[in-house]
Amino acid sequence: MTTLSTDELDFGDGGPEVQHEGSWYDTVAKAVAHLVLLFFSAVMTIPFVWAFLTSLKPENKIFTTIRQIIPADPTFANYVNVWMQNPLDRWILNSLVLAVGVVFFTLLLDTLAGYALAKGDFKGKSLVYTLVIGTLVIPPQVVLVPLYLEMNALNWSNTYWAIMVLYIANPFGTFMMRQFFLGIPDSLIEAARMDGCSTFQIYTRVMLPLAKPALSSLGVFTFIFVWGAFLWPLVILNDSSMYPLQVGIGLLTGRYSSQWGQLLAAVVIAALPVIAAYLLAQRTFMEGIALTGGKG
Amino acid sequence: MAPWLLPLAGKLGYAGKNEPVVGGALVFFVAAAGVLYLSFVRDEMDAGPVMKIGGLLLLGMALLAFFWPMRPWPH
Amino acid sequence: MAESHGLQRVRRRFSGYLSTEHVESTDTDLSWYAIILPKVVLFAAILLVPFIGAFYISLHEWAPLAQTHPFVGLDNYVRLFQDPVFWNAIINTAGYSLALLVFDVPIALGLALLLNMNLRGTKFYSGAIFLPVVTSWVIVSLIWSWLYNPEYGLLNAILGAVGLPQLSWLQSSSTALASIALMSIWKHIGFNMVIFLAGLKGIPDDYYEAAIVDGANRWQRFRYITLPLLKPTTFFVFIVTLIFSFRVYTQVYVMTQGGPVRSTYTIVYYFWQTGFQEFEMGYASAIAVVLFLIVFGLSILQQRTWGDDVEY
Repeated sequence: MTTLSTDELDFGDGGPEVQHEGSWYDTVAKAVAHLVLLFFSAVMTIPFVWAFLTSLKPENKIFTTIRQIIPADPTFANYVNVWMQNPLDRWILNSLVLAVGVVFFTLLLDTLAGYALAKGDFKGKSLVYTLVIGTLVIPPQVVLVPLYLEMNALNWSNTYWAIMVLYIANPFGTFMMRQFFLGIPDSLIEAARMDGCSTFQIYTRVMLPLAKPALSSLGVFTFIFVWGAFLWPLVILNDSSMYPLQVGIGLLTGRYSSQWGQLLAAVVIAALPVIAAYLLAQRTFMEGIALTGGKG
Repeated sequence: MAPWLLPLAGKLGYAGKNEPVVGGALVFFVAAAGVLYLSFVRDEMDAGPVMKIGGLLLLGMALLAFFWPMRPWPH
Repeated sequence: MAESHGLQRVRRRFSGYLSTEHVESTDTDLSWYAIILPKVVLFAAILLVPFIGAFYISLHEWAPLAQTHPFVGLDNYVRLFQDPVFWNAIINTAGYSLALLVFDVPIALGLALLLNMNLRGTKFYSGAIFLPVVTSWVIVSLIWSWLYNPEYGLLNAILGAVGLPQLSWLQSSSTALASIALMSIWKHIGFNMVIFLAGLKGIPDDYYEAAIVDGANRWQRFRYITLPLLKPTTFFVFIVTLIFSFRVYTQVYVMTQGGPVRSTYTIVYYFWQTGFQEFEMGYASAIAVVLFLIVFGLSILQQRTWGDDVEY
């Protein structure tokens, strides 16, 4: 997992046909594989389908029609109710602000820092690199208490910035981009220098265009990560108008403890954007995890 | 960094109920500017339609956030 | 080969300038410092200073609104090691991690191997199995709370239909932690599967072709080629899963709030409870430091493998 190239990941392409054993044994093996995969696919998707079907049932009929899997008279009443009673739209916007901000600044700062660490020639480079590697092992939970005090002292506690800084500071992207840029030949940079490019121009004209595949992987991974963030926003925010979607929905459980129809409607609303994006760009999502899985 | 900058940033980063989400608009705008610059000015990027449309979408999001208070806060 | 395509494009642009001689940089160090400064400032302000601060605060009695924060030395740690709730949290977290290692990793490996057979429909299967990974923990926790509902949940309905005794899942202290672990395994399998799949794709096909020429059957190919070459990936997956599972929090918050009777308290949940509910920040920082030490120990194992590139 130390190679950071996307070449290895060719999902679904044929690969070499080396299984020309053609016996009945082979056929049976394939059938069993299909069965197992089908079983796991079902296990992974049924909970979502089940939640969706429940959310379509009228609230007062959920418990009486529990044996009836497909709702007899599907209704969107739960969706309307939960949308009217809760600022879901604002929470979605908050989540988008945080996700876009963190992804953008992560990509920007990490490519800059990764570029400097891979190709730069300046005093203190190894010190900075040690800092990156060192902070890589700090679990984010450890810094929460001091960061909470720090943000309160700055009077930033109910702002987008307070949430974003923790995720933008994550050293993983810097490490990943450094590894990526190390693989780019120095001759290209020297050619660009001969062309009169400054250090920063080389960044925008040579480094960024080459880093596109790595950027999309890192971007998607960061997006999933921030979209699902829970503990830090929960701790630092106390104004419900600033909640990201996950925190808002997570705190609904108390209010809707037995109104499952509305709770699950909120869940479907919250899950849908990411699932839709995932269905459109499945490959990018998987590469994002495969190449960046080390972040944990 | 001027001492007034941090409190000002703090104010921008917060938006109460039914207030324009200025900080959010700012974030979307900066991201849109970055993406649009890369996709339309820097032709080395060889930007595909996803990047171009994404940049315009971000610009739209910035407007949406700035003109946010569109419905009464639910109770 | 996405990069090589880009590389060619950039090369074409600068063709004619390519030289083998080293060109002296006309820029000073200054522009490099400007490039790296924002990230370094963030590191320092958001990670490094608070990290040191966590150690500092853990040596004090620290209520956020108090005027003074008296220094208490190692009292917080002494108290921590005598605190049954904390030990309970450690045992719960370790049990949860163990469950993930024992069930999640082998299943993920098995699924990756099956997907690597390049059957028809591989894209569909991998897409379905990966679906829970892109969904957030809050969402899946809520969905599973509904599945776990003792009277109306899907799981008890299935158990009842098969004729097995029904469980009270999250509502009994004997099954709550296992229920959370089961859901987490379900959510996490796709993650590890994709990492395994990337590892499998990295094994050159020539190896298999050569083995087939030598007459090795499917099992022998798996035993003598796939397994040894997949060892670094497997180890990596184990360590990452372990580090990751020690931070379990969101599921506990959404599904059980640590209950019933503290049977699902985990390290991070207890940390949150003391630090941000009871506002005993000194004590909470001591918990955080212990968490760091545990994860740090595991990370050393990971670092050892990280630089360990296997050449084929």
